[in-house]
Amino acid sequence: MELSDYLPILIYFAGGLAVAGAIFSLSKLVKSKPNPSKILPYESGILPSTPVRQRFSIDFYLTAMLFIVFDIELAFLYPIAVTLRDDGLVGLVVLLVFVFTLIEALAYIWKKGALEWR
Amino acid sequence: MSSLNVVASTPLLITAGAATAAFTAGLLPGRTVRRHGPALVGIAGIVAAMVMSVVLWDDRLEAFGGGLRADRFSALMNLIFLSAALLTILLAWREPAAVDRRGEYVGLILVSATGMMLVAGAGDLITIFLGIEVLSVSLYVLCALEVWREKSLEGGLKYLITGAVGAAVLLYGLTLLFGATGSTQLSEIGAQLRGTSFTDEPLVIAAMVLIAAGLAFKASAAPFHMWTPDVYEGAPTTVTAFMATATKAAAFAAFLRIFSGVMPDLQADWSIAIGALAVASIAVGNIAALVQTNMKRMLAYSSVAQAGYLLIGVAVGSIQGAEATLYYLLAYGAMTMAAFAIVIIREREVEDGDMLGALEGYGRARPVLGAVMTVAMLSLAGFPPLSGFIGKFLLFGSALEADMAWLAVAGAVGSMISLGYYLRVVTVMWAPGPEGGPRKVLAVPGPVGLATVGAGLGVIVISLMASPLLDACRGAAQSLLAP
Repeated sequence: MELSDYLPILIYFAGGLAVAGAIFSLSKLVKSKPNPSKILPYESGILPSTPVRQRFSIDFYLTAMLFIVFDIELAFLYPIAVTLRDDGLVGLVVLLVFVFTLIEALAYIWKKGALEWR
Repeated sequence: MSSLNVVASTPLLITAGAATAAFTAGLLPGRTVRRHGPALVGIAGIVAAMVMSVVLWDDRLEAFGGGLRADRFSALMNLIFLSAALLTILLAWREPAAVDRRGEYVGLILVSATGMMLVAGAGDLITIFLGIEVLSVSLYVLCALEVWREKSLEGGLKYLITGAVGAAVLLYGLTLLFGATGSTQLSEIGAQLRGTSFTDEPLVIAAMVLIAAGLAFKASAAPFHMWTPDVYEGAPTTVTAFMATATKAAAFAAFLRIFSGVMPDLQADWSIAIGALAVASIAVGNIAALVQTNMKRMLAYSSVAQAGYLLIGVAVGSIQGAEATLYYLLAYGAMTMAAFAIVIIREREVEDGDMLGALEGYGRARPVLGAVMTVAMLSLAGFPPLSGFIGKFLLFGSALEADMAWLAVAGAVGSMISLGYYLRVVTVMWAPGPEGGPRKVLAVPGPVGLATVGAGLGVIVISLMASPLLDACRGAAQSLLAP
């Protein structure tokens, strides 16, 4: 591979920098003058009564992470499904090993109580 | 699918399977199964994987389309990782970090060992990165396993952040190497780089620097060692022992695979960079260790210095250098494990068991443990005829042979400085000690005692059996450098 093969990436990089730079400099140039009322969060004209940043229960993160694990499982299963006929028995066994590992993980988190909503 | 060679990957499959079984065994009903199941499953898996590694010794196999290799190098490294994992599981018997999370403890140690074996057998840049991540992610969790101790959490978080930076730098380097050669296969990259020099390939210089920095994070070589003392002090001591021996060995496996195995023709250029890392590590590690009063911090700085000695063998780039590095990794593993074993035992007895002062007079009350610690310290300091001396002798000799005498001089000066802190431990251990003997002494559980004495004997056996072991190391080095 020659270095010149990567010229498109360099152009793309320069383009990205140019767009980002343009957005930032334009907003500096033509920005409106803020005052305390303007920078308040907009709540249909009513004064905000509670802090805007709310804390979430850690359970949401756990659920989201478990979702990602099984989401990725599906992302792997689709390509295997397409080629399974060609892969034959070996492919099926490999697939089953992968799925079994994730089932075992599901059993583990279930037993650990990660699926209970506290 | 035709190149899916299961035989070559059996050691990995066994440890991965044993890890899954250990996680499950920790959840089964029945107190006895829950308490002893994971450790027994783990030990059985480790022994089986060791047997398979020995069986594969004479073969040169490739699996997963060249992504994984089974040769003498990977077999020897597998034995180092698996022995470290075995000793760690034995040492963690009734350890507070491991008692109520037995399944997790054993399972994560095994997953980490699987990642290390993936690094040692890597035939592809992707495999190297995958292995490094698998071993690191399980160690992040293991470091923070004593959740009730603030320092353990702090250590885990620090390791996570620095480890992530190291992995990012390493990945950047691997990407540039792929960009310069157009392949992720190590054999293909090696063929592309044959007969070239850095002046032809500016991208490879950047790749080399970034890969060296990323791996130096994992090997805790100066100036990328900043996390080491805090993490080693904070993590549960059994985990520290595993990190200091096996993780370091995995980082060196990656160093040897990438630098000596793939870029031998560029050796004249990268050996200076690696040599500079070596000298910096020897200087920083040895000088900082002199002023430590905490045993875990002292051993952390000592491991930085030892990483420096090991890097000498990598920098040399020859078969002798790789052979010396492999032999020293064996010796280093045994002596570091033995030293940490004593700290683990003492930590259970008294509150401040990881301080040097807690060992005062301990050798007189516990002659066997005192002898193990003495052997470990003398070997780390490089006293003949112990294995640490043989390893250093070979490392410095390989540097002299390659006309890099400055590395040998740095190593010899560093070893002299290191006497200051290694011998202090020995003196403290055999000193008369406080009135009425060392404060509190508990019975050592059988497996812990076995592992401690085993590691101590290992140091002596590795020096007694130096010639067959060196033949094995030479075979491993040859399979790495002459594919």
